Amino acid sequence: MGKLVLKDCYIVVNGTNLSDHVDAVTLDLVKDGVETTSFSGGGRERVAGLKDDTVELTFQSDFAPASVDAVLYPLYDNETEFTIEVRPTSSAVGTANPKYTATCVLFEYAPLDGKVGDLAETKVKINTQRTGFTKATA
Amino acid sequence: MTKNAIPAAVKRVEDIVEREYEVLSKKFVHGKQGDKIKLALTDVQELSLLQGGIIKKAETSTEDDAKKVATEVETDEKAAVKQVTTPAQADNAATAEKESTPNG
Repeated sequence: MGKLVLKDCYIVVNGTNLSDHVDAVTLDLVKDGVETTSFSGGGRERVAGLKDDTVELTFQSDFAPASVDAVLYPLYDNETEFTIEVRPTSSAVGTANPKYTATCVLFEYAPLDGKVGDLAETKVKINTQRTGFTKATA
Repeated sequence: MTKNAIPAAVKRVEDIVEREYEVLSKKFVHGKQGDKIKLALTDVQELSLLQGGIIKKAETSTEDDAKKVATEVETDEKAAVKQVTTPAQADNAATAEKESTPNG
């Protein structure tokens, strides 16, 4: 697979495939930069600290059973740990189509967010727990 | 029947018992709608999936459990009867067996 136009991202939240209700995705892989600067150099020096990966998803709101709100609200309300899987395309996992998985928790959720005439969408930032995202190609 | 599990989150809790559920959602990746699947879920994971209408507890599982318990009770009763046999009873049984066999 060469350059990619996002048309077919695969997004599974707590076992439910919500790809057809997501129109934007951002995986943020983040590590704290712990400063170790000393007198021995002319600039700052850092080492990697704790991971704090997040995933930001924009959902097209749907309050039908087993859809967006039915999946997300209980996760928020029950403070459930759940898994997320994201792939560039819905094809089988491989070197050209890796899957990123993480155990997550949902601390913020806005079921309704929009102005008159807008498509009801909700942007959700989801924090990963412990190991953050892991990448697999098989 | 598909045997599957929600990964990562469950790994930390080793003694979660698998239970049978029926898939209600078309979008559930661990089984097709209408399938009965086994999942090992924590209480809150189960609650979240039940509340979302993603899965429901399989009705047959209760009947199966009842049958299982009934079988176990029956087996226990049989074992208990065996244990009650006294040495005297055992001797009598052996004598009776000896008498019934022809000389040889």
